[in-house]
Amino acid sequence: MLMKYLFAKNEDIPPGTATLFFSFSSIVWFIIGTGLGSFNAAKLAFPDWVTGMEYFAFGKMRQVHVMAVIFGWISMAFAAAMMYITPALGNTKLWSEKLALWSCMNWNIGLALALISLWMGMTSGREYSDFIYPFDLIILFGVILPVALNVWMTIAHRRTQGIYTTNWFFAGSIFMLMIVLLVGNLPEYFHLTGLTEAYLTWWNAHNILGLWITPVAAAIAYYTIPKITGNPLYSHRIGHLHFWSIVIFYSTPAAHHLMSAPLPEWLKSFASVEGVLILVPAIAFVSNILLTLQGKWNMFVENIEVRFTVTGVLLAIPLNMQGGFQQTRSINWYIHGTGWIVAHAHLALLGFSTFIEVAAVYYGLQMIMKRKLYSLALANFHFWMLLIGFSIYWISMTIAGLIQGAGKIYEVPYIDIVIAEHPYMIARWFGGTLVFLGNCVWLYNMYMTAREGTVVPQGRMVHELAYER
Amino acid sequence: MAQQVSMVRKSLILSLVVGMVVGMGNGSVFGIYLMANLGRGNFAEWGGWGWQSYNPFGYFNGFMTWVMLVFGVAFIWILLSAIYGHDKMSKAGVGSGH
Repeated sequence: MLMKYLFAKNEDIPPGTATLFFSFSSIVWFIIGTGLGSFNAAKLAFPDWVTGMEYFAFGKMRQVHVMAVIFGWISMAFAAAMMYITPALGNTKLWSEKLALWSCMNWNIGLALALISLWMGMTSGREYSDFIYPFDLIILFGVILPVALNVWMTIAHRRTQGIYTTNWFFAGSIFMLMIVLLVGNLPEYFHLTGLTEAYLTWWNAHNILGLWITPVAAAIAYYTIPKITGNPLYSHRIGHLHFWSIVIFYSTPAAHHLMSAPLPEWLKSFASVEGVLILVPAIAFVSNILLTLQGKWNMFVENIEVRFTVTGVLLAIPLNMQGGFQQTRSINWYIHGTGWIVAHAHLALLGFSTFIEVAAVYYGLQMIMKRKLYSLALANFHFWMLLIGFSIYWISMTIAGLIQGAGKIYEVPYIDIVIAEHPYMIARWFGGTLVFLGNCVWLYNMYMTAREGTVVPQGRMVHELAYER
Repeated sequence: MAQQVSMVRKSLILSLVVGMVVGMGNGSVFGIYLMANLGRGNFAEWGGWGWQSYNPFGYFNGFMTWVMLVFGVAFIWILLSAIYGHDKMSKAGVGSGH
């Protein structure tokens, strides 16, 4: 079907086709990404699991897991949401459905090649920008730029007077992502080394999270919660405060990843203060969404999309409390280089942003296909597998990180720490595997929704029929 | 009939799990800030009240784990109180409120 539309005239492609392909691609990448995560976690929990094979070594597989999740699942789910929500909020069609389909195809092929090359050992060796530079350029100009063009041009051709908060975030974040990828990969283009390389590496890593993943996930919540509950957004001004405080405070604290490096002290202090100020956009976002829910809290229990989104928003509270304070010098001294950071990264990517994106994919696919979910029971099962799996993962890794921190300070022999960590590594694997299995069920449910889901009558919205399943 | 079931009851398990995780997250920040600051100077002997911060012969992580658990329970209470309040508002017919 994809090949048929790739060479069709733009007018002949049904609206929403790109969202459909992006959504299913993102679910498949989510399964691949979490499957790799589960495999890697098993290597830490059971040291004899798959040994002696270079290509299944933890060092190689870990990079593939991280990049598959960020550029496969998270970013592709974002693209799906953008291709659906941007025109919906502008009361218009997507600027070019054909360009979006080409972007989707380029994305899948480019990412698959990039991950295979990474697996084969071709890496920049820089965390979160592990791909070698030709793939960085393909992702930037062959994937991100076309998606950005579609978002910007759709907003420019909107048939509404203003630009709703969500579209502000979409348009701004994808612009910022392009700058981040362009500047953050400079060490590869110009072979920069030493502290400059370290600083730019973490500037890139921090801002992929801060200027892309965090704001776009928030933007999706700004759409789904008012849309599904029927309540207007509590405050557009707080939404603007959120956007601009992200631009100002979230773009500068990269040096807080390098608090023990010989960077200038003023730069580290500045980054640390800016890091605490991340609480400004965080409080603005969480309060805005929770206040929007007034009078509709029953949907937290009864509506699957609202439940996913609100859980993600609630997880943003500890995420930003940790993010704001763990980079201050006293705490960073204790937890730097421990499993605490791994737990925090998963709180951001698997907790906060994933729960919001899953809701967007559930909702977007049902709206585009005009079909009700095949099975609400399977969707509930998916929710609980994700929540319990993530919770087990996060709690075990946080406590494992604290043990590592204590061991670091006490100068406990490394092997004693490894032994003390073992039960937490098993718990981590178990939690991650629950997430992986839940996602397999999700793909089945969405596939069956496409094939056998009850057709939503003309003029009705999917969420209006939520209680009639 | 379903309308009569209180929102607190319907959301109990969800609130327990989500509230616990959110609370433990906040507790992790409070606990480690307290520990890292109070521990300065004589850190090796200080692991918080009741337990050491690291016990090589066991898996319990002492003070920090207690703080996270207490915060977890506290946030469950906060979440359930908020849902109870919203339930009362809904039953009183107060709409979206804004």
